[in-house]
Amino acid sequence: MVNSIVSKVDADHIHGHQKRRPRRPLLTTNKPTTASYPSVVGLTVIDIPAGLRSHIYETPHFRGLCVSSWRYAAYTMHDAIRREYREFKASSDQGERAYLGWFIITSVVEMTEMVATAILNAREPGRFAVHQADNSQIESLFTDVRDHGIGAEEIRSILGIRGPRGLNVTAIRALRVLESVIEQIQTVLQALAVFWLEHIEHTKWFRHYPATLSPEEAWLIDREASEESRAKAAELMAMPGAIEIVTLMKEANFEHILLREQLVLEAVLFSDAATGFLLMSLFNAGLDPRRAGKTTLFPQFLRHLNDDERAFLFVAGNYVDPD
Amino acid sequence: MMTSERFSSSQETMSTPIEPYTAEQIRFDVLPRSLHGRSLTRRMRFRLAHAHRQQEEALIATVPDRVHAWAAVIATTWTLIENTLKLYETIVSHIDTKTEEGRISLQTRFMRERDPDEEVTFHARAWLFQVFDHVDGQAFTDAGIEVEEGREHLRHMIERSVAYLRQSETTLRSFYRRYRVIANAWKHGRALFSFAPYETKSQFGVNASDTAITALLAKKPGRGWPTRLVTFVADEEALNDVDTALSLLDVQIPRFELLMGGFAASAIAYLDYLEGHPPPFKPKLEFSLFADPYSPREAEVLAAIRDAPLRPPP
Repeated sequence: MVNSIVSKVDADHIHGHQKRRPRRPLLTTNKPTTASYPSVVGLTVIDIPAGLRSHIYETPHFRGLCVSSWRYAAYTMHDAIRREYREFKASSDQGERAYLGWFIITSVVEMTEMVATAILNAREPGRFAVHQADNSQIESLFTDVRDHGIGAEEIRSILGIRGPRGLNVTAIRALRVLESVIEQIQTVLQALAVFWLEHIEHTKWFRHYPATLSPEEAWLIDREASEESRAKAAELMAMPGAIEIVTLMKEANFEHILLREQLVLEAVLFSDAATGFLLMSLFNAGLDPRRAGKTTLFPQFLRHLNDDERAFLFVAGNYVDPD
Repeated sequence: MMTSERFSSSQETMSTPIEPYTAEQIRFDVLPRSLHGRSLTRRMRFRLAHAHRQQEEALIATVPDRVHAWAAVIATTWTLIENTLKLYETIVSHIDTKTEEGRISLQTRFMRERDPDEEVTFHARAWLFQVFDHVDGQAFTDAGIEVEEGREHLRHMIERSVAYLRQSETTLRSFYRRYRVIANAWKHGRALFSFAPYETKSQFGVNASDTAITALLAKKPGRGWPTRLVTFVADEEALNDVDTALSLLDVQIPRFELLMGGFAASAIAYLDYLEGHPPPFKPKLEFSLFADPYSPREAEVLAAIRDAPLRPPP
């Protein structure tokens, strides 16, 4: 029961009988007494007092509680994706491998939505306070990131990355290495945006109505399918790591999508990068007093560095490892 | 655990429907729907196995992972229920799944309230119980059962099956409604936060929690202030809800897979037949009843019709 937040409001206000204009309720960090704290069971629905709704996000502790939850969500999701990937690798049933492959891709699409939320939240905390954006807002963001990227300054701001102090040779060298890390993060974010844009539609059919065809089934329906189309499908299935070709019926034609082992592995690596991004933003957000004044750099974005450069950042540059 | 009785019909009946299909109808209507049904139920089988595996993992998960592990089980079960209800609707309403409009229409149709008249026949149509109206009377006679008596027993078993399926659907729909907010928040970027709200007559507040997760509900997601908090705790009730839903799905999904698989194979074979290539085998259609326990006499009736020719409804 830490980080409690209490709002003292009029009883009338809570229950909607506002006889007079209520005083704007304040959220404080008073811990409630045990007697006033009913335990939550099962599924509980509570209305947020009307006078509190418009500024509940302005309370740093409430925002802190919400944002720090990403830590659990990111960890558990990352663990689940790794676990499913192990199942995927261990299975010899192509049907099960295909199911798990699409499940992993779907999970990573959902995970990149957390990344989108973090970026939108940093850009417009008032509008995208802590909750999820809808798909049209995410699509707009990721289209922009794909086409134009995200500036280095904004990356530093979202992830709380401070530049090295001083103007000496050591600081300048650390700055150069750090800039390459920022570039790496920019590249990863563009790749995550492309991944979401490419797979969001697959996520929808897989989740809501996973009924598709194989190319052979499509040709039973469309006898006029060209030899070229058949040869292309054969070529796709001959690719290394091919698991299945999913054929979707569109208006007047068929769309073939190849699920390959490489795509599933790529998704797992993206989940790793997305986890690193989310946790880095949390570690450097000042929520943890033990990390105050320090910038944590996650290994996901340091892989392009050689040992000397990495050591230089951590020793001379005063950056810290998440562990 | 509910069990079901299964029956097979021979391909011969598929080649003599009441109004024979043309090759064009088979190719552009029956075949796409059958193949989509087969694909859907296959993936549902994997999703069901996945839900059970997630359930096993959640049972041994510890705080703070436990509540997230159970939310994952809820999300998978919830999706599976959506798939199942859409399959009902696809079969009963003859949804044209080969078109995007048809598939999209399911999104709004599958949880619609049905009018009472439709309610009576809905599950019978979803599981094609009409086929039992067309059992050859000779099957009863051969087993020493009066035809009328045999049909009367069948009618009672169908009534019990429909009652079971209606109750089952009510439970599944209830789960779907109850956990909609949690499942939606889960699939949209895991917007479930580790705190629990509380309110008294004079206070409203939230406490960080390792065992509860809360979704913020706005009238327009991403575009408005939250108005409600929906908090989930993986307590005994939630675990029972999951167990019940999965038990019901365990009964139906394997049967649906057999039924849809048989239809797809039959449609392909019938198309071959119409085009002058009689298939070398007779695909089986597997129909199911959900009426146990069966009386000894009912068991005799079931045995009598087990391999009798059944005519699939048009």
